Amino acid sequence: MSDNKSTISVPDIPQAGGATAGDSKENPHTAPQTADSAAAKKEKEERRRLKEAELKLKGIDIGSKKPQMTKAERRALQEKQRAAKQPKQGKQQQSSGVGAGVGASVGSGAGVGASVGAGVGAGTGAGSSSGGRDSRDQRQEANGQQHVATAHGKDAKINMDNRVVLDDKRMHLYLHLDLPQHPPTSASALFYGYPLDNNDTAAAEHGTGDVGLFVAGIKNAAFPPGPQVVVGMPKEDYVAAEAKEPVTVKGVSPSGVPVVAKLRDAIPPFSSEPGHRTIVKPTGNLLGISIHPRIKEVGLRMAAMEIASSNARTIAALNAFIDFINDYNTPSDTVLNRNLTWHLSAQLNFLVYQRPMCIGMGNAIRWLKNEIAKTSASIQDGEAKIKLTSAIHDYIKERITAAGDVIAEAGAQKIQDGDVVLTYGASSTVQRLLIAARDMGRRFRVVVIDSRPENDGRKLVRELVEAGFSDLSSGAAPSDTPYDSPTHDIRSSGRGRSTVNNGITYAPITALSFIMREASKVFLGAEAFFANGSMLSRSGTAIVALAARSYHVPVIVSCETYKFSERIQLDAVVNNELGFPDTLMYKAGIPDAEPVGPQSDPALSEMEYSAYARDRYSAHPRWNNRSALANSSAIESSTTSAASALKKGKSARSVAPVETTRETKTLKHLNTQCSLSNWRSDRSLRLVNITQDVTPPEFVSVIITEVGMIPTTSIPVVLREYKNQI
Amino acid sequence: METATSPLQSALQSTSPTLSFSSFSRDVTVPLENFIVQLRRGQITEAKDIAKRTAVLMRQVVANSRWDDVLALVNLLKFVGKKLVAAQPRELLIVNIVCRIIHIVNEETSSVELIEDPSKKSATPKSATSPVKGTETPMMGLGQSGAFMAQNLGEQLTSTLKKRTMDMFRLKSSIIQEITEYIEELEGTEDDIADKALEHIHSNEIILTCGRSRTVEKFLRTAARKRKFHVIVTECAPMYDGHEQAKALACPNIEVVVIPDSAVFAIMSRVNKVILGTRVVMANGGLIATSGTHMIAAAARHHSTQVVVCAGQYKHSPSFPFDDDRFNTLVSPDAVLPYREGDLVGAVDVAYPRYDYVPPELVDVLVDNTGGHLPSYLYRLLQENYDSAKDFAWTIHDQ
Repeated sequence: MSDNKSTISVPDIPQAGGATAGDSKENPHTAPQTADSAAAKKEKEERRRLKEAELKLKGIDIGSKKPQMTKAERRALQEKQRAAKQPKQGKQQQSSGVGAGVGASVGSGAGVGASVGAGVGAGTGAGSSSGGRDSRDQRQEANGQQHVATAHGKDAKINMDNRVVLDDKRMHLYLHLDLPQHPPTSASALFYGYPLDNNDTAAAEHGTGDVGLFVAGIKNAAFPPGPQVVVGMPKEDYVAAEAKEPVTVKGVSPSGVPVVAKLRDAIPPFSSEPGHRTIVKPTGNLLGISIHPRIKEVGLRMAAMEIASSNARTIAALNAFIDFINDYNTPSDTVLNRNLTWHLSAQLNFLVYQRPMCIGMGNAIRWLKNEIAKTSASIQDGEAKIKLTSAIHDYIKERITAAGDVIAEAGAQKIQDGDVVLTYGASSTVQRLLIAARDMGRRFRVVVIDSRPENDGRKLVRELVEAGFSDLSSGAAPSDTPYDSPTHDIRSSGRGRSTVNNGITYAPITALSFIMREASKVFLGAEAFFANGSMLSRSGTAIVALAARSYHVPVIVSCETYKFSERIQLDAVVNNELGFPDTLMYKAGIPDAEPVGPQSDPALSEMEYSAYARDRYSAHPRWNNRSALANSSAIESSTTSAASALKKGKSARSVAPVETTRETKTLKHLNTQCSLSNWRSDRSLRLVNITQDVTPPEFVSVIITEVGMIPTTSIPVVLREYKNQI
Repeated sequence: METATSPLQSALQSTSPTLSFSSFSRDVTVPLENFIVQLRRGQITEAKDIAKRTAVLMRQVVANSRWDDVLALVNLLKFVGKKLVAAQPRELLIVNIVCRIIHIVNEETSSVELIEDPSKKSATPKSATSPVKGTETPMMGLGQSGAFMAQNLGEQLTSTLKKRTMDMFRLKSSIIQEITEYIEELEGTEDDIADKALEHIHSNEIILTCGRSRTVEKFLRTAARKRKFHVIVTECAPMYDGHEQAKALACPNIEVVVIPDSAVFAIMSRVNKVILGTRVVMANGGLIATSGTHMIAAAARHHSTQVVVCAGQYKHSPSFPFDDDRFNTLVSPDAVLPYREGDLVGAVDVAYPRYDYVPPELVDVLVDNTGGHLPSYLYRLLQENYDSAKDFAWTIHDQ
């Protein structure tokens, strides 16, 4: 291989992989296309340097049989090669104007970034498609926006801090809101959203960004590391798509703005667009109305999935509306019940823009609007406010908190001693129910099924552990049949507590059919029930219910009646919310749920991690990260540099490693470890993170509500009753 | 009298538990030990690797060990088989291959004898598969005969021995040839299965698959040469087999979508066909496949979507899944609940089984290298491929 290559003329590099060599060969062809002479000059210079390096290399090659090149040199060379081929790539992207998804939004993003001057916006976009700082530079060059070094420095700094959003202004906003930098647990801790503000000039500058949804990574979501990816379609595409099939959701979006994820954009048979969540930025009636800070806070927290569950979101929104109403003053020329509704809609638009409302929240807000409309025009502002606030408090109490208590108590009655209760994800009502049953003195086992990428079952497990569920006092002795004996019972041994009537078992959703056999009851939480009896819930719920049904285990769903909807939905594809696709990538080498984040140096964590003894499968090449480490030279190099960083100057190599940023290391690491790390570069590969799921009514045995235990067929009845009340 | 030596030897061998490695030459023991160690450590996990290596090892046993009788050979094979099974008791593939090889030996023996001794039909067949009744031994026979008979007998013996040696030699080579053919068949399994791809995949179909299966990969890839379609791959967390499968499948004619395992039910309403790989197909047509498969098949059934299972015949196991946990194994919980979650790790049990048992009623078609079959037809295939050798699989776990 290398012999061959050393005979090839100049632009070929002996040490490079085939693809790289090919690319650099093409360089001369692409060079004339550049309009920018400065860029061309730069490229030329690069090539000259490249040639030099290569010649040097050849010398070594000829001198000794084996190419004696130090790692540092090789890396330097690769770095240069990359630099050399970047402008070409960028231009390709530019000239072809590839419309799909990220590529296109990158274009606009870069432009915006340039105009704002921070350069972060551009970085975000470019990073998403090919990752790393180098490619970011390249994009900017391609756009003819030569950024000064300071901009980059700033950019990088922000990366390290890992609290980047889109530009200074927004970053300021987030900081102001004091969102925790590292939100707990959830891997999908992303910002979906766009802080909307009248005074936000950046928003105005985002003329093209009308439909762009900006996603900023706080934690975990960070691939590529640093500021997160711009997700969204370019306006033209979006408008075209809209013209074809407008999607509006009744009752959810006050201005008829489409707010739900369009799955046809995500699933190839329905569209060729990659999986994106598209939300239209609210416009129109917002002008002249400022968003209340509390609403802003709640909205952003929702976007960050910090307030994620249906109940929590509804309560948070209603409480925010209380503050909003208290701060509201009716202008002299209008009446409260008209003006307030209008103002409320603006606030609501903001919330919806951050994250689509859940059904329960939609119901609550519909109720609130109704209340406001019912307020007599003759009463004073103050009186009306008091009335409304107390009504909201009552709603929260009656329909949510007290209802939850009733459900917990009623549901706890259904648990008997010796039961094995299976649940999925983390539902607040189920959690209360289980703890209530525990407090009643019932002894039972809980099986928590969990799934990626949220892994919020861990949250439930943690809560249950804190509530004293895993009582280790009466653990059964592990069976003494050796592990690999054919008669060894995998259900009892090694899992000492599972045979006892208390304790918690945690299992991934793939283990469902294995574990369902042990369950005697399944308790689930719901996000909503539709009028046809089907249940909207976190994705995976349907499969749990199906498993329960096929194993003849009753499925008991706890759900407050305020989550009942008059809509009818038959399957999960017509209307769904899509999560951030990159959360489906897993952390390199570590078979764990979370994607890699910039704050954790993978090399370091890897080293730290492999110290743990694994079980007998440690010899398995896939489950053992030690072997994985040994295999990959890229990781090796990053570990050495990490190790040298640890030892403070006691570098293992005499030549100091060429400056490699953390990002490139992470990227290299991911590229060698996670098979999907560069999925965006593969046109025929995409990740879709569906977050909701519709369970057919026949899977649900009973719904526990505050009005009693009802079958799914009774939902329309309950709906009608409540309609009369309103 | 001609059958003299064989029953004794085989009786000795089958009764004495001391059949040991000394029966083999170094040519056998070294690869055997190697293979056992690798199995034990779980270093060989891919189904075809295991199958092929078992078959190759069996060929070595046939070629390089001392046996002058078919029954002895079968015993040797069983002995080696048991060793391998003991190394990895939950690996059904080893049992399949051993059974298959024993079946090949039996078949060859009977066919060779049919050609060799058409005249000796009247005499008791010397087939090693039918054990000799009574305790009559050649030594006894020799002892009872008079001294004057000795010379005659000696002549007779030498002539039969010569003939036997020739027979055995021929038998040996034909068995080895058969096993070689079988190994070739093993190697071509994926291609043979992939040849049937176009019968099952139509243009623009949406196909769902899960886990990493090279058979399925080749199947879909072959179809993609002619047709364009979409493949949805579930990621199979925390093994992430699906990721690799997705990466391997992505090509211009296949649009691959990776979904989390939880979204299977949601997406199933849009799926035209579920194409699955499996570890083993049980005797009743059920599958032992990567965990999560059962629920995918169940979701497919709920949506009346066809489930096609691609599995070579070497994956057909003669065992019945009476206790499906026996074929399952729990793997490291670290992947599910990382040790980093320190406080939780001590407080909960984590269950992460490697395999799922999929009942046969959820499987619509089994595609193997000979064609498509219903799960209910499997018994017939087993009869053909294993016949009486199934006993080995049925009794292996008894001790």
